[in-house]
Amino acid sequence: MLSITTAIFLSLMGSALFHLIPESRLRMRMGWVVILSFSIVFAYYPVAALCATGAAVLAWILALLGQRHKLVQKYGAFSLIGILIIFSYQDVMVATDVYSKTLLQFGMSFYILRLYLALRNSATRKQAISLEQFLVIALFYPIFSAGPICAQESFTRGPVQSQPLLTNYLLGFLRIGIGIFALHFLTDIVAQLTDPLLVVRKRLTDWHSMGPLVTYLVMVLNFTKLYANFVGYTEITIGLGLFFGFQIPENFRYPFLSTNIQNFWQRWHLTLSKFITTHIYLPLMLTLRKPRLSMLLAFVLVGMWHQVSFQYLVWGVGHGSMLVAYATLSRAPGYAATVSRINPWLLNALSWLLTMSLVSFFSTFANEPSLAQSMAFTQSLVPGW
Amino acid sequence: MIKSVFLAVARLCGVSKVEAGLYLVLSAGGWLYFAHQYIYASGLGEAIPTYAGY
Repeated sequence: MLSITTAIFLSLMGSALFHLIPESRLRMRMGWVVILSFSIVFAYYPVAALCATGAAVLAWILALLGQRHKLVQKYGAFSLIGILIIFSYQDVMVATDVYSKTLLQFGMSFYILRLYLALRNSATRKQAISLEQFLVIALFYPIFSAGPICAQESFTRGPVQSQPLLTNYLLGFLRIGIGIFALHFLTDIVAQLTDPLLVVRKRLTDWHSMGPLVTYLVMVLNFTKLYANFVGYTEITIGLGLFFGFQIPENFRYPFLSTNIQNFWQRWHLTLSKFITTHIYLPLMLTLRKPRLSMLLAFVLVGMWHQVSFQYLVWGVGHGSMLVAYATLSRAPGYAATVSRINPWLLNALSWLLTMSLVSFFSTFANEPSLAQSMAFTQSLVPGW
Repeated sequence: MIKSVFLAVARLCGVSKVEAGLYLVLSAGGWLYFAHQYIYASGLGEAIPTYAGY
């Protein structure tokens, strides 16, 4: 297990060497990041490191072929998605326990999406990407296991690299501090509130023993814990990236302030949200010419990307339906007139409560370890069921 | 001095002054918690929080 101390120490040493290489030797710099990232990932998960390297080499070959063959340029990136499906959901990942297995699958789903994005960007902008760039995109250790979904722009010369080194390091420490606060302090507090409700030996939530109100509170706390964990991880990732002068994109914009589901997806997991819009929703809409159906299908696919399970199917249908319902309702005749009659503070408070409750519900439902647990949670939430 | 730090963080992170203040407070909290865990609670290393599930 890589502790934060080790991650920071390795990043400080690694970035110092990175900055010692002259800026004009870009390939050498990227090569160093590849060696460092591969070594770290390989030390903990050798299979994952080899899989990511293989995928990056494949993406590079596809990019080279795409320069000569239009068909490969247009459809080559889809073969990466094919690999994701085959490897993630067939029992071919060599992992010793369920936790490692989940991590490998999750990591893979992120680096494959990053490589896919890089390949598509390279094709549309007609910019060649070198092998070491593909390898950095796939292997850069802070983003390896859980994103954000970013491509070549994050690693090429940008505003962050023009800033003085000291500024980047100080900002890096600032972001890492926020990450530690969220990842551990907040998560610990929430865990202390929810852990007594776990059936200790099996680490399962004892939904049957709770009334609807407690179930509701645990559901909201579970979602808060997920957010604290994810935002903390992202902050640390951004901070470690800054040590190298890489601009890892922001992934959250205060999602707990969302007052409707559309607004939620403009604040939650921004890189995934952008990916869904550009690479799933828009192509589906251009093909089907039905925006609402495309929205629903896009979220079902994203649910399946998270995990092929009935729970995540419900998650995808739930989020897709909420977006469709909101789009339909907000464009309905008389909607604006009805809304204007309600006190804006009350309206915002109610929509906020409804949005956060539904989002927490689908998140908890999807993240329960089994369908039986998800159903027990739902039953416990409804009085008299 | 403090004001200039706030302004610099706000400018470099592309956020408002209030958000810059929030960043500084949360970050200080995070590092203090980390130091507490590292020095007092963990016996130098055992319970140090892990990163990204590695």
